[in-house]
Amino acid sequence: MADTRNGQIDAQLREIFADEIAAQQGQCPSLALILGMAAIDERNRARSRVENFRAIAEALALAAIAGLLAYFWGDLVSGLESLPAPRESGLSPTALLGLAAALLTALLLWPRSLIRAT
Amino acid sequence: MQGPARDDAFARFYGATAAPIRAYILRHCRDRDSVDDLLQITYVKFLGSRMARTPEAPEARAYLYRIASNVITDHGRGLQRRRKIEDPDREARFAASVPGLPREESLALRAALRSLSEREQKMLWLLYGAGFSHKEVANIMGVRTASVRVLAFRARRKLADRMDAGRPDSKAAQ
Repeated sequence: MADTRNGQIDAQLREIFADEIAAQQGQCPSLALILGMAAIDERNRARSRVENFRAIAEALALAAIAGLLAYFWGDLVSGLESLPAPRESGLSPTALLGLAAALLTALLLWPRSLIRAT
Repeated sequence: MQGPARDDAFARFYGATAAPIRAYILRHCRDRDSVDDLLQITYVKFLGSRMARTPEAPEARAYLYRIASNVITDHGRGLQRRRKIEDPDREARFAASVPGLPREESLALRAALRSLSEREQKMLWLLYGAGFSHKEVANIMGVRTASVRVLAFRARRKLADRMDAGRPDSKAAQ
């Protein structure tokens, strides 16, 4: 008796669910839409992967430049000051130092500007 | 599998699974308006997975249901946060579309189904709607196979008891 009752419920459940599935035929989004969404998602994920890589590269580049500057700063300054004054160009050692500082600043900032440009 | 062959395989997979997955989401999602969004998210997640390379693999369908279950759960949590209410006409709408059963019987079974826990309803759907084995349902729901057997037995007994309790003759007898 219980088996028969269970069998009836099983059959009814199958029928109900099968009808629910049949009712969805033709209601689903098109395959092209799904593939388009997946393509957009893949592009976004690829972009975020690239951005993550760039963020790491930027941090590494900045750390490397800062390390090199710290290491060579004394040599750089004394080297620049010991240069004979370039009379023809009119640039004093101080001006050369300023120019070098500007170049180094540009070097420090290049990864960030590169990221913004892309 | 690569390129067009994989696209064809996925197109076949989509054709075979889209309607059942939509029905699964529609039954278990509280927010009817989001069904197509959740369906898209489910397939996009599937396409982003390694399983998308072999959509004809036997376990691909179970994997898709697992994704759908997680998507429904996540969405439900979001809904709870936003305090949305369940669609009250859902059962009646489904009942009206079942031609094979007498309407009263269908409504009684659906009302009994609705009284089960979300977990029991999902499990019954996976067993009887999608036709998965106990082992596959266990994999999809992240429980042990033995638990699925026990839960299914209890859920069926609850259904029978609640349907019987709702019959006019049983009410008269009380």
